[in-house]
Amino acid sequence: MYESSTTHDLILYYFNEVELSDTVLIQHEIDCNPETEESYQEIVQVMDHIDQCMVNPSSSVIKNILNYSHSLK
Amino acid sequence: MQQPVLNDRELVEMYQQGNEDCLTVLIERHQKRIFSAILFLVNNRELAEDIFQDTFVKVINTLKKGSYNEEGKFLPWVLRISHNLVIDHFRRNQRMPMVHDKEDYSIIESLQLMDDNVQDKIVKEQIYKEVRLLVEELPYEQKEVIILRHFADMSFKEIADATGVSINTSLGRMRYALINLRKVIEKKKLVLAA
Repeated sequence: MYESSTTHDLILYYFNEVELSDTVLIQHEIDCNPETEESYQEIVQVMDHIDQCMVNPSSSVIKNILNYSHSLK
Repeated sequence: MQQPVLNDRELVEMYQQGNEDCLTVLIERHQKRIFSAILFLVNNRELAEDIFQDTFVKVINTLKKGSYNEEGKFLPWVLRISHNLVIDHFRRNQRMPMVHDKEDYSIIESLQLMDDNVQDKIVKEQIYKEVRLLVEELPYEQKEVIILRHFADMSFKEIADATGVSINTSLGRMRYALINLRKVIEKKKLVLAA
């Protein structure tokens, strides 16, 4: 990844936190600049990787929670 | 005829009116994201499950009392509760999880591989080894910003307010988290899906 201000823009873009006008500019930069595109893809890939690693709690924990809720009826 | 999918706000309202099934739907919808966020922070399954349970006890108590007012933002609200409980835990133990004991329970052990075929198991085990490295090696503040932004869907402004730093600092932490995560992934030559 290169200079931090550009990376910050790409991070904000990934999380949909940029103004519409900036969105168009950043998307254009990603489309036209291979270095920017590579940096953006790095962000996407790392975040995708995190998504792939999500796990559920055990069913006994869920059961305990639901039982607690029922007990308050 | 297909039933309309109720949004979180509708489910919360119906639960507050006494429909217990709505809590089941809310938990099923969000359990993976909430539990994973806790697990990423504490890297200990039993502790993560305790905090997950305590989180929902607080959620239930608040909803039953009728004092919930975060309209339409159920998931970020629950994740903020869980995050506060994680912080409370580490304050009580007077340490933040910057360095993890290798003997501690790791994220790998919480993953269920029973239903996979052999090839899937090998692929998953490789990925989970990477995840353990990510969880163990990433500084707490960097894990925190990823969880609050990516899992809790809080804006960088909201994260900055919640953690007492500037937006630029939050963005910087995210930037370094991404760099560190990428380094670990590259070090192990993990091929990520594009």
